[in-house]
Amino acid sequence: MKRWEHFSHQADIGVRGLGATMAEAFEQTALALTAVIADPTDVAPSEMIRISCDAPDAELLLVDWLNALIYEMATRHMLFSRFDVHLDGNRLTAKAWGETLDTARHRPAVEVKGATYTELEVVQTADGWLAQCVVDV
Amino acid sequence: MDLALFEHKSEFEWHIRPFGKMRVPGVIFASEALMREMDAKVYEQVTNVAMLPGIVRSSFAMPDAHWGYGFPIGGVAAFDADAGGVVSAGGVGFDISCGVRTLHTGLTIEDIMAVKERLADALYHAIPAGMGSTGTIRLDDKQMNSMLRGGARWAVERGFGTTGDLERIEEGGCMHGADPAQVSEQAKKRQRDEMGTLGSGNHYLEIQQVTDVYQPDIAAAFGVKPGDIVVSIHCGSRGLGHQIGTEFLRRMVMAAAGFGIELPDRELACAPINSPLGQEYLGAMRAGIPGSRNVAVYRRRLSICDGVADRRT
Repeated sequence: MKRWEHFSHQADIGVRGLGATMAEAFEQTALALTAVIADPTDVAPSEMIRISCDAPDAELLLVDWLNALIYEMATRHMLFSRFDVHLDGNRLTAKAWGETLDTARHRPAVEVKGATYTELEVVQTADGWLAQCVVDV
Repeated sequence: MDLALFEHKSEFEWHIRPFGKMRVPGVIFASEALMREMDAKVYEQVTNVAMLPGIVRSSFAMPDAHWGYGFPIGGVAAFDADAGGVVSAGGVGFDISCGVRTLHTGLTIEDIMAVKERLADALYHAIPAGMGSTGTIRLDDKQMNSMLRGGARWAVERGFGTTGDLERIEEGGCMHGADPAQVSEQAKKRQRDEMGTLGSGNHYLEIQQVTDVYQPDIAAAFGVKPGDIVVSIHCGSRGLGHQIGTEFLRRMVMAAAGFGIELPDRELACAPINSPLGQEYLGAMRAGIPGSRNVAVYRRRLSICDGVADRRT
């Protein structure tokens, strides 16, 4: 049940996470975000950072979460491959593990510049939760 | 796209009559062939834009229109500030003021054929591009604010270009009303590492050969003829613009109801031009235009100048 996938959106790309809980879906969406750039299995979870954000609803919270990760990736020059998300209402606290970007080893395909409100959904499905949006590359 | 949705006003003009919450008509300029191939989302986005407060005359889309964020790419709309008109962070977009600049090298294809590979290697080494690349220009807080305010003029003053360049840049290379104080520390931090770098994705620098001339009089005015070699650069405000866009889009989504604005799409989040939020955004956006028309302009220049400087050393 726990998995991530990409979906197409013209020149950009959609990230989708599925999980038993909304927090798990958020973790999987983050993994899908990393996978836009590099193979997450090549990213060692050796350094941990903490992220927290809150938003008026779950959809805005998903965008905030992904944008927080994008900001950390951009300013720390890191990639992340392991996530632990806790949700308390519409407040998110998370740990993300990763390592410094190594161009030769990670071979980054593109740089993700922002998460958008396009195709944005956080919904409960028959199997659990789905979280998705388009990211601008 | 279903042409039955439009009134065919003239050969290249297709109108959408206002319906529902549309305040003005939608107008797409395109040939029938282009219209048939155009993404159906363009119709939806043109009609959504037509619902925004204070829109003047029509919600337009150009022949290259395609599915964008809120606005179609190639969408055009004007808003009357005195009639409740809005500025939309989504409409302006994330990569604020991205664009392409083409520089004539004065060289021809014969000049570069023999050194093609060496040239590609030299450019690759001289111009930082791709994810995680960093430039050689580091700015402190004060210099960052000067750069955001001064744009290409700032760059020229520091020797990264010539005054002649400014004559070929919109607004003389410096956008009036740029307010660095409205640009968050996060946005400035993203800019800091990206100074003098080209970026990734659809940002590129290409050495191009002129192969066809469609309008000889215009080509002659630019001094361009077949066989000429030009350098084309696509760049934008990148992390800086994205951070500005993301932060204001969110604030505008949250504030919309308070302004009595019903958003047909969250990507169209906007605020009245004559509101504190609208003015703060305009100040940040104009500083982000340096982020492109200035940063990108200067970035376009700096990237090249970095290269030139590197080759000299």
